[in-house]
Amino acid sequence: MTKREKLLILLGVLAFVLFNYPLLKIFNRDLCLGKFPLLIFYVFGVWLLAILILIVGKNWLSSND
Amino acid sequence: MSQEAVYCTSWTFFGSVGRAANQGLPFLTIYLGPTVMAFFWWFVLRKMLRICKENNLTTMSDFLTLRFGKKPLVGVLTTLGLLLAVVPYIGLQLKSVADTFTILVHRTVVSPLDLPVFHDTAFYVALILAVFCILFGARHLDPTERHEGLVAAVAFESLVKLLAFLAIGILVTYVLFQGWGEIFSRIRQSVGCSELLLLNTGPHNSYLLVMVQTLLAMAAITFLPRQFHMAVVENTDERHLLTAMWLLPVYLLLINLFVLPIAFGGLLSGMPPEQGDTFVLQLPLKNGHPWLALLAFLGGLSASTAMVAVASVAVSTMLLNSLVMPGALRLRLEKYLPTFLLNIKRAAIVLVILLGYGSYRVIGPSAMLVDMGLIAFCGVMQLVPPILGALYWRDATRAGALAGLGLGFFLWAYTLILPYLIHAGWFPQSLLDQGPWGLSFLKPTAFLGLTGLDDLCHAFFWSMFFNIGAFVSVSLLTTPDPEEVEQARRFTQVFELQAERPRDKRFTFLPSLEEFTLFLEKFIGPRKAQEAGQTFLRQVAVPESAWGDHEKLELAYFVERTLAGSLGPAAARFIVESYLSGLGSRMEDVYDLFSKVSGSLEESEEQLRQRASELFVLYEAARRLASSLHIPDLLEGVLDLLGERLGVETCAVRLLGDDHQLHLKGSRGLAPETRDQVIRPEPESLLAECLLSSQVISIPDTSQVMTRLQGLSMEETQASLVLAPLTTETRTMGVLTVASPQKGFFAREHIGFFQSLAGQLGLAILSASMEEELRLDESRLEAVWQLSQMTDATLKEITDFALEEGVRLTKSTMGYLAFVSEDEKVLTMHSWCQTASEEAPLVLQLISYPLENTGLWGEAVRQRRPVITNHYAGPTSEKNDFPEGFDRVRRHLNIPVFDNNHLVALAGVADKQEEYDDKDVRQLTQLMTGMWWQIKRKRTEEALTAERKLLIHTCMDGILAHDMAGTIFLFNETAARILGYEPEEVIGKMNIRDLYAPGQAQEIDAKIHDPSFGGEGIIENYETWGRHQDGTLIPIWLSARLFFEDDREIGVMGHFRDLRERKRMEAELLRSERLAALGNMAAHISHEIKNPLMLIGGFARHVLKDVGQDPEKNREKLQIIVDEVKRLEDFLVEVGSYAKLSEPHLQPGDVNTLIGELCQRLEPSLRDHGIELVLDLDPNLPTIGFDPLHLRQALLNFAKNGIEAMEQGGTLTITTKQKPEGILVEFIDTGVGIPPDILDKIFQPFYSTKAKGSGLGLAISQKIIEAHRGKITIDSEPGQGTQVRISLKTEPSGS
Repeated sequence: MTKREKLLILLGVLAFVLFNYPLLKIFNRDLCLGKFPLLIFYVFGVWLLAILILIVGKNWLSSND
Repeated sequence: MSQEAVYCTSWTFFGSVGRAANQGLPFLTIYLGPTVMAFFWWFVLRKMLRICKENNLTTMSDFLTLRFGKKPLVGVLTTLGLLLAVVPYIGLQLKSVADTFTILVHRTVVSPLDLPVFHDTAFYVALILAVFCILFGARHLDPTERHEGLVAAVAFESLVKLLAFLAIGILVTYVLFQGWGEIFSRIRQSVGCSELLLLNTGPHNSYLLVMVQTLLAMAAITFLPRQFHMAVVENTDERHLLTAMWLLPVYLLLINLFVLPIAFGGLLSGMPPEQGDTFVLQLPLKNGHPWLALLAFLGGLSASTAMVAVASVAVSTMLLNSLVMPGALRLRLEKYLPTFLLNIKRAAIVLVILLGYGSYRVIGPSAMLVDMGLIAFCGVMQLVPPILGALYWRDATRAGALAGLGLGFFLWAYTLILPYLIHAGWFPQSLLDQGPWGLSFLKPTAFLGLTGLDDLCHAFFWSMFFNIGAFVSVSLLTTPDPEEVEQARRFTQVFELQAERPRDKRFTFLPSLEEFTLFLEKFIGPRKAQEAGQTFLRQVAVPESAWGDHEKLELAYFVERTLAGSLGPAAARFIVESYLSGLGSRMEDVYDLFSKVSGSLEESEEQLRQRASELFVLYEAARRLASSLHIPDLLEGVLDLLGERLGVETCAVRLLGDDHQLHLKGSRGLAPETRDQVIRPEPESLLAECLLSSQVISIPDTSQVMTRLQGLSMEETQASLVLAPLTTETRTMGVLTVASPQKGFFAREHIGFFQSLAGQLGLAILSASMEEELRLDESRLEAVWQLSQMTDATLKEITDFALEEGVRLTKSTMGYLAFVSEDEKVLTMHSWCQTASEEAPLVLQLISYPLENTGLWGEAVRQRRPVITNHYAGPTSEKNDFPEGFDRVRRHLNIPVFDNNHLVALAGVADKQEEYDDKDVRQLTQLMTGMWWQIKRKRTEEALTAERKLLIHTCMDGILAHDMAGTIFLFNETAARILGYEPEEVIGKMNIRDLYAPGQAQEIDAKIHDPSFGGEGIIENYETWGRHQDGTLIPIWLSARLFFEDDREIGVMGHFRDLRERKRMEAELLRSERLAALGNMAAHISHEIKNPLMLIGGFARHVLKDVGQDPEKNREKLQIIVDEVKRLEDFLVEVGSYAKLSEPHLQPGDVNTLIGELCQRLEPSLRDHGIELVLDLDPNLPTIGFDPLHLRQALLNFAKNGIEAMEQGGTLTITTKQKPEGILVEFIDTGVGIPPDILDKIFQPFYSTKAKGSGLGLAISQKIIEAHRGKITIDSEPGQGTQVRISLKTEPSGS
């Protein structure tokens, strides 16, 4: 297993942590940025970030072969 | 590309909106979970994919069944659990389709449960779906075949679903409301809905629930049967995972952009949250967009269809493989299986869908769609521990998996499903309120008193708690069986091992590929069976004829795997096993060659240990091979090792001889008559192939190669056979064969071992034979050297010794030597040797055999080359005149012995333990040639010695030789005769001193070193005395010579002649000579005296007569008488002086003075004769010693003679000269000279030419000069004069 593969697993764990308590609690507030609740921003933001990392990660994995 | 898209899209369609409307944000976890999981797919899913592809696995239950030892129970449990989880889920889909249809038709939600089944839309939906599934998913039996139709349908569905959802989302967001912002603002402001945007406000959206749902979604997206089916079965390439891993999150993100707006829109429109599942349909309907509602319906329908289709196919396969097959096999129905298999599968699909419908009817009223989804997720979650254990934990055991799965499924069903069933009225409500049997701690929703959690978290916790706990602890407490260990190894190390098969298993006997294909046809059809066969041939890339254990094992695995694709691993294994056992083959552990290796060891350790064990056995072999240099011992050692270590009962070693034939040198378990077998391998035979290719050949069943067994014995060709070549770097020396009466007895490990062993043996034999050759050469050289030392031995001793050595060198027990006559026609037996005879040794007779009568043994003479006969069994006439004893033995070696192309002898040995070969020929030939040279030398020497002896003993002279101590070692017969001994009495016994006269030995010794007696070290013709045995002295004439060795005197050899006869003859001669001289002298004297006496007498008588007559006349007569008397007196004085001539009294003096006196006395005579005297005297004449009286007389004689020779006058010249060694006196006259005929007589006494000479003058002169050791030479020429030379030495005494 290469270091980048291990890094990808770490990022996966990070994604799980980001979507869970207690980090979730930081953004679990009745606040709005513009018209959108903060939590929606946070969740979709992390989601989008995860997708971007996955796309990068996919390239890492495919370049390994 | 379509597969991963499909994988993404069979996710929820309606349910998420419903859950969002009820729960708020936590619904997102169902989509976030897959996104998180996407990070791990490459590692988890790819490994599963690889394992499933390699093992032809199609379902989760097969996966777990295979991992946990191929026993059906794990599969049964998994299948039942999943069935329980998935069937309601299918029901849910039916419900959603039915509900949406009802809404679409009646514009209101009507519970179908009030309707009879035949009026229930869902029932017909179920039937239609079943047909669809059979058409797309069960056209063929092989589930590994990808369902392109299914995939295409699902792909289309996903697109429809996405478009429908997006369309409705846009409608709600932008048509019904003014974008996301407005919806969010309004929902925040609406009463009771603000908390939908927050978390942890109640049990329905707690952080714990978020986490549990995330975990469930992670498990479900990967392990739900339909997801597994799409990701694994329909997936053609691992790399598709790479696409899915980003495409799925993107797809989910896109859909979820509109989930919240639709849910909130529905709520804001005043619809109750309980109908959230139908918002997607109701919103467009209520707002006048029926076509959008239709699109939404189609989207939902397609999602459900796809889900049901895939799920039902997957679960039915699971049912078939894990339940139906093992059940049928248990009931011994397997022979009916092939016929009904496909229909059973179709029935299973229908069954699953109808079960789904049934569950919908049973629990539908009480549960919501999303609840049913999460219940299924939680059920699937139970598979996660065993799956992860299967993938990553080698210690996981079947017992652990069973315990974990059992407890997990049970608690899941108990805590999560049971409450719904209770709500549906199937069980009493008291169960929920008081617990079973009133035990409150067993309450399904508050198990062990745990409260405060929502049902899902509660069920999740307890099921996973017991599942993981039981799985891990039971796994740690139990020991896996070898099959599990093997599978654990292959699962956890699937990437490292790359389809490697275990090497410690093998089939004793395996049907051919063709038989297997026929067998497969019954299950998967002829076309697929043929294809499978071809695939396998491509995979192994080895032609079937060359298959070893490994390939056969592969084939068995392949067949099992192929069947597993259709029947599941448990059934496949059972079917293949029973098929093979029916054929008499069985799986067995590979013979435990290198000791059992514990499965718990790490692979590297295992390999190390195996290597060490292997090395140990080979070391044992090497030790045995090194312990001896004797080839038979080596062979015995290896054959023993095979017996002891491997339990091999039949084995043999054949060595390739120089004659290119295979000689059996050692064996175990072979019939006695095969001993000494010699064969020439035919080109087609296995033996020839093994020799030629130098490769190990393993034949599992010799009946397959009946035509190629030439040269092999019966015992070796019963069933399985291995031929290993004995190779060295450059050549193959022979073949090691190992056989077993059991088919396929030898495994790959055996073969590798035999190869190693044979290689070692080959090397050992090579070095042993080289050593043996060296030893033999040394031995032979020593024998030849000893032969050369046998100088004193007789011919017989030499030949006997050589023959004995020859027999020893060739390891024979008997031998003979015969000489061949000159014309090579007759053999004469000369020597005989027999070492190991129980009988009395043969009495050798020097028998001659005519060559034409001799049988085999004469061949060597006739062919003039060595003849080896190793297997003599010909007619006895062939043994004609064979040396006795030879005719009984089978092995002979006969060699001719040559002397310069001339055949001189025939040597033979016989009865060697092994076979005679070129080595023996060489040894014997060289030894015999050596012997022949020795004999030849001996003969030459003997001939020479005899000749010399003859010469010595027949010689007329006595010959003797002695060493420096005087010991005599040579004494010939003549010598013995002369000295009166026998030679034997003298040689080595007497000293030379005893053979010479006393003192003579020293004298001779002195003389032999004196150069003046013939030279240094030589004495020639020395006259001495030998001593006769009787003591008398014998005159001998001795010539002798010193012998030297390295300049050192070692002895004297001489010959002597008996002088007794010669002395006698000489004495006799002397006496007669003396008598003659005396007579002569007497006559002369009487004559000399008679004449004067006659004159005196005559004149005296005249005087007497005439007395008184004339006195004057008488006086004249008297004067004559007086003169004559005076003459007589002078004569008598001369005679007296000659006779009495005494030894000269030498005194020094001057010869010139003497000559001066002489001349004075001659003066008157010279004058009378008118002779002129010339003196030429050397004034420097040295003084010499002489007797003056004697010398004067001698010189006077010469002078007088000269004067008398010159009657008519002349010249007398007297000269003296100095000479190196003395002086020379010459008298030269010019007289008449002396005729040559009398020149040698003039010195004889009484010889005279003169009338009045006494004849004694010159004789006296000569005697005087000789007494002075001088020498007289006379040169004379008649009429010319005479020259007399007298030479005198300065030291006349000589020494």
